[in-house]
Amino acid sequence: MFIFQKKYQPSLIIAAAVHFVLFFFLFTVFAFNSSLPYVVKSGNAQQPIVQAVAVNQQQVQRAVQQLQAQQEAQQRSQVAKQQAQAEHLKQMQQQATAAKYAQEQALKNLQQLKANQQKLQAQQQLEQQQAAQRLAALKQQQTQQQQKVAQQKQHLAQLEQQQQTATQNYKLQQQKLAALQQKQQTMATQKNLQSQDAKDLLKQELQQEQSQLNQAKTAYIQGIVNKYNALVIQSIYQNWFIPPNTNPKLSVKLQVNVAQGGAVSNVTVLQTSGDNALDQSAVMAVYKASPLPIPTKNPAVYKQFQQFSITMTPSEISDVG
Amino acid sequence: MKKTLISFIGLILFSFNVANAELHLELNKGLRASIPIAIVPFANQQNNLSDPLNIASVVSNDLQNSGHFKVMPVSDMQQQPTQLSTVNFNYWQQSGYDYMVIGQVTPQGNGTDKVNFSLLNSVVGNNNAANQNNAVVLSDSFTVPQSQLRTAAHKISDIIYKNLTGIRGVFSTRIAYVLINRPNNKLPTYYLEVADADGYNPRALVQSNAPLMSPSWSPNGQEIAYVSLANQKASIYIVNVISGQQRLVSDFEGINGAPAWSPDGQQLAIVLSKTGQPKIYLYNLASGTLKQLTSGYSIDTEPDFSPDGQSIVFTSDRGGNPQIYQLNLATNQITRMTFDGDYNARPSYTYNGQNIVVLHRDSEGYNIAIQNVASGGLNVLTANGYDSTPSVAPNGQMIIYANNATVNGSLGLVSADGQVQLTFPVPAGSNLQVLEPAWSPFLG
Repeated sequence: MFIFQKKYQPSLIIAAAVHFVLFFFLFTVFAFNSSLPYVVKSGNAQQPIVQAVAVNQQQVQRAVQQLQAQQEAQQRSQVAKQQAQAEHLKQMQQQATAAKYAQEQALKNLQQLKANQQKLQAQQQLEQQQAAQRLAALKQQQTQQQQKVAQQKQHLAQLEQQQQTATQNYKLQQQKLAALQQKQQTMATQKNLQSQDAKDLLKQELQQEQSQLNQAKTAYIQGIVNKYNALVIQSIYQNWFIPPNTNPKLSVKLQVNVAQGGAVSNVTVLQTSGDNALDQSAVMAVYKASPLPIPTKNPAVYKQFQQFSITMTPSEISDVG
Repeated sequence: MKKTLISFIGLILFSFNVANAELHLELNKGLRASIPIAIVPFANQQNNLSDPLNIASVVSNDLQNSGHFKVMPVSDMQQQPTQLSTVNFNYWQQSGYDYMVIGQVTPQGNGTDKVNFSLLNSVVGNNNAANQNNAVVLSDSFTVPQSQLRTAAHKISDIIYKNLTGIRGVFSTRIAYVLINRPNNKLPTYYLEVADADGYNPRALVQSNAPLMSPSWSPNGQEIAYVSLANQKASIYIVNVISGQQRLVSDFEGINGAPAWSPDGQQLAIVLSKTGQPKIYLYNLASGTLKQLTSGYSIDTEPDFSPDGQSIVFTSDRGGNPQIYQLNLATNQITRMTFDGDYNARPSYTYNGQNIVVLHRDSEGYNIAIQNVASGGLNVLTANGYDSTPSVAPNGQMIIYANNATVNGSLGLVSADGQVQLTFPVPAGSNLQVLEPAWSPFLG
């Protein structure tokens, strides 16, 4: 099979054109050649030459001049035409170039615009991402804070429950003891003839009950103390302004004396941190927390807080808003 | 036998435990906050300072500008006690001022004044109404010539600052800087000025028709090395701060520049260009001997000694652009220190050697930055974009620098954590320009 291939197309066109031109020339040259001898023949055959020369010299010259003028005019008009054409072409080219340039420029602008847009988008995305990250971090912080609060609440609730149980237990034991004591009294008043064994048994029972009661009482007090421990620590923390550039590993131990009602009556440094400014800030924090949130109704619990020690370490420092 | 002993020990432990069943609490967190303090105007203070500023306001200004204190405005004080017996501590604690200062100025004749002051803890005072002496944190007094009441005020600031922050105060130190006066149609005059740390009492130590540059305090604070172009070229001079006496120390061929004292005050690290490019040399002040420390084709300049005297930091373009390098004086080993950005220059160590302060350039322009030596972490502190010549306070808490944003220039202060930004007061005038501040060491 014979297939035209695109790369032969120009050569084929050129070949066709060449054939056409050659054919055209052949034809015109043949026509010209065939007419020339014909014209000469006819000219030679007729009219007397000398006479004609003398008479027609001027006419011929005029004719020639006319012809020349005509030719010149023709040439001029042709040149003018050509020039106009060239001018037109040039203009067209210029216009084309301008158009092309404008197009390129537009394309460039478009690309630039696109690039800018992309950049803007990227920046926006980045900003959005950063904002999202910040938001996420903030949320996380919030959640952590909430968790912390929840934990503290839970802890407090636990303590509360413990305390309640202890209170109940304490009351129960108290009731039991009262019942037992009454039993003993009635038995004593009845002055029944009793065996020594029965008396001993009763005494033992009574002692046992007393010790159980004591335990319950301790647990009860401990429950309250635990609860107020947390409150006291919280109130001192809120008043502790840590000096600048403090070593977070240092710690100071204080002894705190508290009057009835929770007022801090005295603070002494039991063990210095070695940094006087830190020691002083700790003492200040305890004084500023006065009156401390301690129970005032229960003398046994107050007794625990009447004098206590506290170790303060600035390992975690928060900014004040 | 063994059993008895164990139970005996157990008994002792038990009884010990019972006897010491004292409640013990643990607190391991606190707050970062400025310390609230009220400086009550001193008794009789107005009589003695012609300056509108008085002792209490000098102390207030010092503490407020340190960034570590929240100072009560005098206009807020509904009471102004000057004696312990008349202090109503409840008022001061309720106003939120944990600490307060009261004092008196007593003329002693022959032009001297006695200044008494007490730092009081108003919270303790409020909790110990029975014995107000418990509220006294400290008391002190000085007798000074009346012309030096300002010095006494700075001393009071130093004592309070040290007691409450644990950090040595820099209120009694000085600042040196270069002041240029350019009168219209006349040649400029250059001054090497020295002022108090709060900008007051400026005085010219050196005056010259030729440019003055690079002031550097000696470790004892008694002398300043500087560069003068008086001999048509850069030479290094030393001037005595008290007597004002000057002496020429380095006048080698080419540039003699950027002097820095060794911590023992025996040597100067200087920059000489006698072999072509500026290089760092060690100049022994007593013997006049010279030792070349760096070599090669790079520009090495702006040396500063580490506080232990073991090494020198300097600026060099050996890596293509200006960066900070450290030279170990024992091994001569040179290590690059800065990697953040393409321009870090003018290094100086903080007092503990843990940080270097540099001039850092990035897209925000030229700003002051601090870099941790161990971690290499760089923290840009200012955002003016036209800063230069940082100089660190001897306690490392503040940095003074020149801000060249305007033709006249200004001196700025920034805290080492970037939280506090202040302008240092200097003589002002349309023809005056201020440059190259240098913070003195602790004085006296």
